[in-house]
Amino acid sequence: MDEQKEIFSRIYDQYVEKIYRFIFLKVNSRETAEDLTSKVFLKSWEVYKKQGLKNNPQGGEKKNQKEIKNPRAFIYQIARNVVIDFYREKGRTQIVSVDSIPQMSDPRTNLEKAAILNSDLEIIKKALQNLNNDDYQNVIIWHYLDDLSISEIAKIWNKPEGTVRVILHRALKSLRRELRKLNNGV
Amino acid sequence: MEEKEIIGKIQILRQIKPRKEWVLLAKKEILGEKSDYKENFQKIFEILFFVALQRRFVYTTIIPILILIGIFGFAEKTVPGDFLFPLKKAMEESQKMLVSQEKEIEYNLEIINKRLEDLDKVIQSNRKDNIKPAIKEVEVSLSTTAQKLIKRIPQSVKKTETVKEIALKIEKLNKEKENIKSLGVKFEDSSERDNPLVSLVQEQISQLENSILTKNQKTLLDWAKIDVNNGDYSGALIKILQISNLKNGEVANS
Repeated sequence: MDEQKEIFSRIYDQYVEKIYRFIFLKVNSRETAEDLTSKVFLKSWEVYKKQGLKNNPQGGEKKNQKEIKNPRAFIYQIARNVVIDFYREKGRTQIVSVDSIPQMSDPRTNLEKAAILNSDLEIIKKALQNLNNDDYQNVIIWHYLDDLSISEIAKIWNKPEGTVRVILHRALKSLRRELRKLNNGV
Repeated sequence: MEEKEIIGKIQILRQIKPRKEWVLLAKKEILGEKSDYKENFQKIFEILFFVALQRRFVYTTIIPILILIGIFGFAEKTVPGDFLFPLKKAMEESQKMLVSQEKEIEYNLEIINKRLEDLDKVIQSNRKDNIKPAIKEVEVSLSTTAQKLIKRIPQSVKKTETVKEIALKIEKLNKEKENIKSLGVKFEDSSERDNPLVSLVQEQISQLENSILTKNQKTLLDWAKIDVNNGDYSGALIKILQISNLKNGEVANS
């Protein structure tokens, strides 16, 4: 049990930041992202305890039945499902956290407000969130932020790699469009 | 917009990170939650068992010590005539054992002061039953100190000043007695047999009569005898101390 805990602890350390970021970009709320991330790892831990890993991150093999073959894909799948469940419960309306609510500004400080809003981080975040396609959002986050390969994404989705490449191309195109809209809009 | 440029912008989102404290807390909760229950129970059991064992130690050692400390603390506030006053005296005696011979007279003078304070407290609080014991304790402490001064004088002690101090304390004792009488409180002075000052004075006069004295010493002895006849044993004691002073070659002070 201690060995399992140790291995899962390393998995947690490796992926917690990525999973959190993925969820945060979907729900746009720190509190919700924290809750859902915890949920993801809790579920993963429950499954892992029962099934174990075929390959731990350090390599080597564990002879257990029904082993988790790809922990990375496994965790991302759980994360994706947790977010879907969340949307199902809360509706498709975006939850805005206190952190992200723009302050009601004095008209005299529009320039300042504009400067803040125009920050690259906010723009790209907004653009990503404006993509009305979960798969587009997911593939961009997984591939460009979390450095997942096409093959790994294909495993998560249980789709051919060719399909993933197409989706990625279309996602990038949509994002470019959104960015152009936002840049022109300021 | 070039693809590279978009990818560059996307990667800005890597700045989004979870709070470190949340990361640690969540990990602890996720990994430690269920298995810790058993460990926690075990720890609690171990602590309780340890405490149960230690309780005997506490009952047999610490509590009696605390009770003793409480009793000693209480005894400190007693006055002559109280039940625990002998304990207070015993504590003072034990402290005296730690005092050097040079400081013994000084310590005895402090004890006289304490007894005078006790007498004062007794008068202030109108504790009639404690008046006689309080007076007697002052007389005992005066007598003890005077005796030590007569028998042995440490080199560091300035006898003249010490005699003066004793004289002042005797004077204060007499004033307190007058004060008590003026308040209408009736008390009986110790009989000659019981008064420690009386027995000391009588003893000393008897010794001095059989000693070779100088002219000045003889004069002082005569005055001391007059004081005894008048019942002024305190005055007689002061003169006896002065005689003793002269024995050491100091100038007598009247």
